[in-house]
Amino acid sequence: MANNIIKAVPSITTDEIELFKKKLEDAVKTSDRVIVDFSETKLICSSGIGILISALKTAKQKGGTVDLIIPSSNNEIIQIFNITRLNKIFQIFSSKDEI
Amino acid sequence: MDITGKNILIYSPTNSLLNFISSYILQNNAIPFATSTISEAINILMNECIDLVILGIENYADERSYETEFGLLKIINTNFLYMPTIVIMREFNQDVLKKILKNGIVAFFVQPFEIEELGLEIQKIKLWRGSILNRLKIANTSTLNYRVSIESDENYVGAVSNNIADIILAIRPNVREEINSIVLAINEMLMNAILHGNKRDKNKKVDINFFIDSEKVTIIITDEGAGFDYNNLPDPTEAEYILRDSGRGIFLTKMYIDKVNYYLNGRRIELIKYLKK
Repeated sequence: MANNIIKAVPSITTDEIELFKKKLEDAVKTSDRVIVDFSETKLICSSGIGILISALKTAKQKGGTVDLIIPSSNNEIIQIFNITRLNKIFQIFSSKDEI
Repeated sequence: MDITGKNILIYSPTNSLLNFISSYILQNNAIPFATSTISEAINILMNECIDLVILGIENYADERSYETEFGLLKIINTNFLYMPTIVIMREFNQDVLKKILKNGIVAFFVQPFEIEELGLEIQKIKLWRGSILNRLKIANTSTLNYRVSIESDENYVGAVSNNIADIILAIRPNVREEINSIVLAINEMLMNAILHGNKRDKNKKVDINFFIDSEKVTIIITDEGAGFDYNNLPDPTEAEYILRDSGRGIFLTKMYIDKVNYYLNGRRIELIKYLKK
């Protein structure tokens, strides 16, 4: 199955959470490799991170994966993934060309 | 009666009362801003030069149902200085009267009432025009207090944090960058208070106190739960916890907020964010 790229919204917080969750769950169901593109995202809440982790776990269980695109210029999101050490859990690419 | 050109906010959950008062106000060449939702009422107060508020209070069997209207009264009383407010009650209720008097109303009516009497009462009030910013200037201050209590329901979270964001931006339009991190932190801590503190018990409330001055924003969130041991939180970056899909709210909040303090055994959290000059 082809890669399934999900473009994340600029701010993944309360109002956006349900939609983000649904998009990700649907993608994991239908694709082996889901890529979440954080190019435009500046803010992600703890529920958003929780949804990413649970999607990764579901994907791994069926032999798939969830990878991320975070451009090196996106300091806000890079910092979050570094501090939470989720950069060790997810495979992170800095652009679509690198995938 | 001369109320020509005055902007009058009318809030009532019932359309018949809204229409009745609106048409009277229009006939007298004033401008009615009618709404049946609290969030819109606050929005109007923030964005229009409202001279007077008329607030309809229904008769509820359950005392808690009054909280929405009392909440609005409280917000007006705390944040919109010298805003004259008239209350119209569906039925006379001693307890409601006590509460509304405490919140600084200038007159009250019980339905049915003579609309001309309402007109006379409006006439007595010295109407004074001012947007929220002018009101703040006149009070010679750039500080503002906002207090609100919500039920333990996560559907209120977005509305509260957005209201606070709007108020901050009205007072300090240059802090747009900080707003997102403040909103995120408020959302995280409100969710914790509702889910972990009050455990979604609708009989328990979450109090939000928000204060802004020239250098910082302070948000104090208090729940009615049992508190928690904030000195021994699991570190979500440790191998044992890293694959958990929850438990990062406080961790992220500390990234976004300059100071996080706990009180009352963890039932109360204080968030302080310094604003750039």
